[in-house]
Amino acid sequence: MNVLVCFKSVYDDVAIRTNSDKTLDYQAVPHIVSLYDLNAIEAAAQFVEADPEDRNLIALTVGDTKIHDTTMRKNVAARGASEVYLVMDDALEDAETHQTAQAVAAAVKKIGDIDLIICGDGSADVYAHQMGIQLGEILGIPNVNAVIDFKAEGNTIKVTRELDEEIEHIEVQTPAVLSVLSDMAQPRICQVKDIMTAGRKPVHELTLADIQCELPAAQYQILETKVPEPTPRKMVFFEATDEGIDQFIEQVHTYLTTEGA
Amino acid sequence: MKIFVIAEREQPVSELCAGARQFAEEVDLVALPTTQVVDGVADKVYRLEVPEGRMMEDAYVALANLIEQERPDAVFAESSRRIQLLLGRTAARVGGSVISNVNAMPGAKEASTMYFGGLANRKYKGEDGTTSFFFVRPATFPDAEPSGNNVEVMVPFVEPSYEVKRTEVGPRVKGDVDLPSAKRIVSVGRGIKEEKDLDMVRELCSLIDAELGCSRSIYEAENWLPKEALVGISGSTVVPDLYLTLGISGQAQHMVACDGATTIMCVNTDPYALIFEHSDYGSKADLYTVVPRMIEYFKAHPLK
Repeated sequence: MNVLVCFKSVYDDVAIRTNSDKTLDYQAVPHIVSLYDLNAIEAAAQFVEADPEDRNLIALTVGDTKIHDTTMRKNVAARGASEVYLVMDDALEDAETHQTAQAVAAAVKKIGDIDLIICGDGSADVYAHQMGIQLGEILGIPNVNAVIDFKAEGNTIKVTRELDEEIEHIEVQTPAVLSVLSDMAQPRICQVKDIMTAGRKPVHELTLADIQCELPAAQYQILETKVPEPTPRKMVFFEATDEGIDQFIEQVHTYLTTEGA
Repeated sequence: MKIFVIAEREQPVSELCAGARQFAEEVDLVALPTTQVVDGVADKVYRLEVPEGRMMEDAYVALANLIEQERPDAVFAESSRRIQLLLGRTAARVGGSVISNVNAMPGAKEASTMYFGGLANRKYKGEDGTTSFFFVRPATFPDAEPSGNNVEVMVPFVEPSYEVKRTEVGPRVKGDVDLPSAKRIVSVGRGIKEEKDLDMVRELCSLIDAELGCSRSIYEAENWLPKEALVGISGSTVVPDLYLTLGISGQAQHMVACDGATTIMCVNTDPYALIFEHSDYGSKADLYTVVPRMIEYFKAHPLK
């Protein structure tokens, strides 16, 4: 059984700075695996490692050419993938949900023979919760989100979904796409030997032309991306001294007995 | 201008219909079997029919057909798990993209969204002649009023090309926490070292009548608190009078979810932590010193 896990490569947001005009400065900001996709990779790796004779894990990302980062791809390989596919093309910069899903669908067809596709809950940048769903629809195969658990019995995948008010149990036949919640699995701490062997695993670099993907037109313009003005706060601070602590506690008390009462 | 609204719960039904009415002559509500339809909010109420034993999201084929036939300029949606799936499938079927986390709408096809969990706002404008799909956050249209005669239209089920078998469905057991309506919240982060240390925080909470919340780092790394206690873009958005943080660093994805608090206070030993820039009052002392002294203080000076 071939399992494919999709991940997004995003800017490391703690390294993003703000320009004087409130736009974002990405200069020298590294790319990392999007936070919740680490959980998806872990969920997929645990599923594969439960039956390593029969199951194989492949990882795939699509994005612009800036996602070319050897540390990032090694990180993914160290987490249980046997090979990594990167589809890189500058036409995919700030790609919309449908464009990304079309590119991933084309890559899935190119890789071929995939039985189960695992995606994360949403990406760190736009957190749209859409890619796995739209991917499944484009491929014309069963797709569900909010997956908190799944297991395979032959070609049947038994899935548990955690919805806002309900727990739902469903069954689908492979091939299928599951978007898993980050609660399903916590990312592992990579061992040194995993990182060492990761460097020897095959990495395939492809362009949109290589996967015969013609990207649909964008349906939205991005007008601007700016850091909002912060809500004004009083910013009264108390030192870590006995006196400072007492003053802070009295401040809490005053607030609760007057305006915050 | 024609806008479709898709929502499940009463409040988003009213809010999104009201917001849509600011821009559109025709506002139509698309209702799932679970939708709490509110009187007088839309011109038409399209009821998606779902056969017994099927997941509601399988109604997407019928919804996609309806959208292709009616060609709304925009769809405003509540970001529930079911609607994420329903609308994602629908959008893919009609070749559309979806914009999520909308927190302001200057126009029917213009949306400001949270980028990197609130680090920045990104503004989008939907191209003319396309249907724009927006997942809109709560409280985006504070002053709008809904209107309409709610003319009912049934939308018959259409089979998808693949089968999803629903074997069982039951209620989700939730944690005994209700942060969105809490007036006072004490929220803990990485600064808490052990689970048993939550006992003193709980004692403080009971003394000042506060609910206990937490940051994502502590929610994900430890299994100490239920999901309902999580404050952040992937958890609850809160609007208390007092938001007191203990050992929380103040990342954008957390702060965006508590920015509506009237007063924010923090305790953090790192004087350079981002949280201080977002706080009205802050203590640079160790929470392990501050919390026991607060407990002592509020025992001696109980709040009425």
